[in-house]
Amino acid sequence: MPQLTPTEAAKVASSVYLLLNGSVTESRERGIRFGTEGKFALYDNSQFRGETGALAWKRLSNFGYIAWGEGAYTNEVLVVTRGTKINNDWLTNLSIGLRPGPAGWPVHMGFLGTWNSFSADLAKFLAGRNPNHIHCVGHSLGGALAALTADWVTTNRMAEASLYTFGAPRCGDAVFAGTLTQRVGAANVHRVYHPADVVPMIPMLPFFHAPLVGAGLRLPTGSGALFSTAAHAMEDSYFRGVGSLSWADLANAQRPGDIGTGVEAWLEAGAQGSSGMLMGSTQLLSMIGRALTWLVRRSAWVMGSALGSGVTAGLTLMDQLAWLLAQASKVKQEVATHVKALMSAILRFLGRKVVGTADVTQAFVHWLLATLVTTLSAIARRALSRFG
Amino acid sequence: MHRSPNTAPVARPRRMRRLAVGLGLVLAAAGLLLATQGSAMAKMVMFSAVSGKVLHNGKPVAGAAVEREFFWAWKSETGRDSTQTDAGGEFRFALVERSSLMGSLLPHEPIVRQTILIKHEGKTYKAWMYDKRNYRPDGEIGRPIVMTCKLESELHHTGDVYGICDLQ
Repeated sequence: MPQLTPTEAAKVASSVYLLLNGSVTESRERGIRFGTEGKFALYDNSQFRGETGALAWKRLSNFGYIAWGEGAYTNEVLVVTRGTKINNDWLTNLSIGLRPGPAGWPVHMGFLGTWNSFSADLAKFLAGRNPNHIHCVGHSLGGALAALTADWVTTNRMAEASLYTFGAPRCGDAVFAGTLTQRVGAANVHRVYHPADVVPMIPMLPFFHAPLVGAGLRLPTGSGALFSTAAHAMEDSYFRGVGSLSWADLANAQRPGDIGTGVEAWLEAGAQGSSGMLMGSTQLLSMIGRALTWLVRRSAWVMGSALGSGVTAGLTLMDQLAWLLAQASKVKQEVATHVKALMSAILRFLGRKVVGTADVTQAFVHWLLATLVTTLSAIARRALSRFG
Repeated sequence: MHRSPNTAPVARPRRMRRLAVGLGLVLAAAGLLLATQGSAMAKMVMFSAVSGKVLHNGKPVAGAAVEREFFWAWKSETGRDSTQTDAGGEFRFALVERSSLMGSLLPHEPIVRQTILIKHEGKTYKAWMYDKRNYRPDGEIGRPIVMTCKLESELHHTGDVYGICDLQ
């Protein structure tokens, strides 16, 4: 299956910003090279505009382009979307709420609003064409938009797709991320992140990244000890960080700890009745959060093709999480053991009595997660009222 | 769509409040982030200092107008200054910097569109066309910008810089 190299993907993800509010022709008169030369035919009418912001602050600006392949890339299409460049884009990043995305699964409301504002341009370009492959590329907010484009392309069976994102935020819930990963294929999802970049860590639960299993490709440069706004820059951080590395080089540079081995060991110890879990402990809560994320990913993988068919978009997020963990526990004993260990940890955190070896039921998981969220909300309210 | 003032949706103030709270939370988190990094609101360099010489067929061009402009995408701000070449054909521009609290707290892609034009005897020459992708001093080419501009030269690339000038 055709794939762009990390350098090619990073170059187009970076150069798309240079369109600013001008045309491709105007950009070329300034000597700008987009990285598409000799590969994808880029014209003024390849560009599309998108809407960002919320309510009275909405603003329309260049958001990317769609281009038809040439030479070795014949019958392929490149869709590149840009990220946060101007103040208004941050309002889109903040519009945190969920709406059904292109495939019907819940996605970030702000990202979807921007994607909807140009999706008709993508449909118009592709009407009457029959590409073999569509490359979806983007940085930051543009990475989330690329994920929505890949979701739309594969749901409507327009072509096979590849997804390349750099420093992208989480775009949708676990079912969105899981079904997108299945349709695109985990091998065709290339998610690159810098360890000091905060954007790939937001929004928090219930949002997830595709690919659902695996931690993405961490740049082998820099340290994650301190967050830095500069780490998020496409040209200065990601393009330089990728350098001339291949996807295999990036995959080989991953650290074993990145794929959740610590979480698994913690759950194994918990399953064997390990104590040392203190009620209200922030360390315990942090582990619960990490373990929940890891288990949801694992459960989505275990559920495989049943993921998209067994749960409906009408369910609440809590319903979906409970369904996923309970169903995966029925399918695989190992998941059931880990889910029970996690449930015990949550009970300990809440200072409640730990239940014995009962089966993991959807109702119980739902009740426990809801109790955890309610308790945390109450703690947060109490903490805030002290400063009120 | 036209909407009369008395039919404005009632949910708007609540939504705006939610957005404002969201923005406040992000800024608070970002402020904390910045505090932990120990950096104050950083200066952002829009255009590093530039010096150059204008030549025509090997001879210095005196009295040519040199115009510099930048466009900062984050704030949609444009800045301009200009000078004239001296008897030796030389010109100089000082460093231009700005600061932005929001810009230093919120992750965004730095883009500063930079242009230098030389105007001489009714003709305009593109001396420097470049998009700066960071806010560092000398962040354009990694060293001070010193250029020699031969008016008879063709437009060409030096790295990602486009124009008639050669860089030292």
